[in-house]
Amino acid sequence: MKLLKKALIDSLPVMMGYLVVGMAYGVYARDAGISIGDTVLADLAIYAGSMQFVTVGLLNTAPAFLTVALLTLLVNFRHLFYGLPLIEEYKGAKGWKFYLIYALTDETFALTQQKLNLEKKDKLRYYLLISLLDQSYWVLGSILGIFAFDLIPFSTNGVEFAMTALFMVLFLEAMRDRGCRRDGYVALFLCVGSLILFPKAYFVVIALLAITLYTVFTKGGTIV
Amino acid sequence: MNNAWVFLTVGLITFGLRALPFVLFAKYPMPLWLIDLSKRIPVMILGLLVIYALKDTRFSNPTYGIPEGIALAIVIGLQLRFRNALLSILLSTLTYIVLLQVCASSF
Repeated sequence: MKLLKKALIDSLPVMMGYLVVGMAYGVYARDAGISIGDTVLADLAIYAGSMQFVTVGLLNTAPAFLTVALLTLLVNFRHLFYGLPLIEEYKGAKGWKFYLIYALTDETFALTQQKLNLEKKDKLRYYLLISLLDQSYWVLGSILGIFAFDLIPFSTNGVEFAMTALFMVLFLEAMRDRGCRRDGYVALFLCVGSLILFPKAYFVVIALLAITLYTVFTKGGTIV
Repeated sequence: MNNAWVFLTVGLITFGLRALPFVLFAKYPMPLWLIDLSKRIPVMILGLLVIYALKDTRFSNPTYGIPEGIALAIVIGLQLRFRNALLSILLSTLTYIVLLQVCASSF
């Protein structure tokens, strides 16, 4: 119960973001003429926010397999890095491991990177709770978008900033906890540089390659 | 391809990207440079996600990135001062929502 309460509170910013962006996705899919079944199917088969927008946008263009595959690799390349710090953490998750890995979105990954004062067993339960909660927010958001968007009496504009703020808070805390401020500043510099210099579609891949190169050629300042 | 095949392709590749590190290093140890990388990557990924979340900010129009700048300053200031994640996130988001409304009516 205590764990569930913590998971609910910690994932509140994700709830705000996923409900609002999920709704936007639901509306976008509805307006693109995608059936309700297919819209929710994508929530389960893909479960990656920005990629679902891209995918729905592609559906009416009769895309070729290679186009879809390459675009997915490009848009979701960053996910390749999320497992690295979690290999040890997710050990012992048994049957749930598949789900934990499948549900590893940007926001869920970010929440797993907090400092947790929990026993190993509780940590795994906590990871599972935030993964399940986050996905339910997302699915609920997209269903709300399909059915009830027109009924919502207020503008949800700007609520998605909760996710930006969540990343910023976790970024600041991680720099403090792990004693690696230099890495943090370098990452920001490389990402902003890449965003300015290269087309937006490629900026994440280029930034991640630069970050990898930077880590390989510098000594780690980590204490963890 | 029909819709279901497109979803399956995107879904499998996404899952593959998420699963690859777990599969690769389930039995074999990581090379040293990768151990170092996996210890240092969380901070850098979180930094990347901040920029990624802000990437669609327009500095030319219609709000010149002002709401984003102010809301970011608030989240950073509050978090450094009070270290209360929920407080920093909720207050900065609320400010952002208000600023968007203000900008929408004055630009």
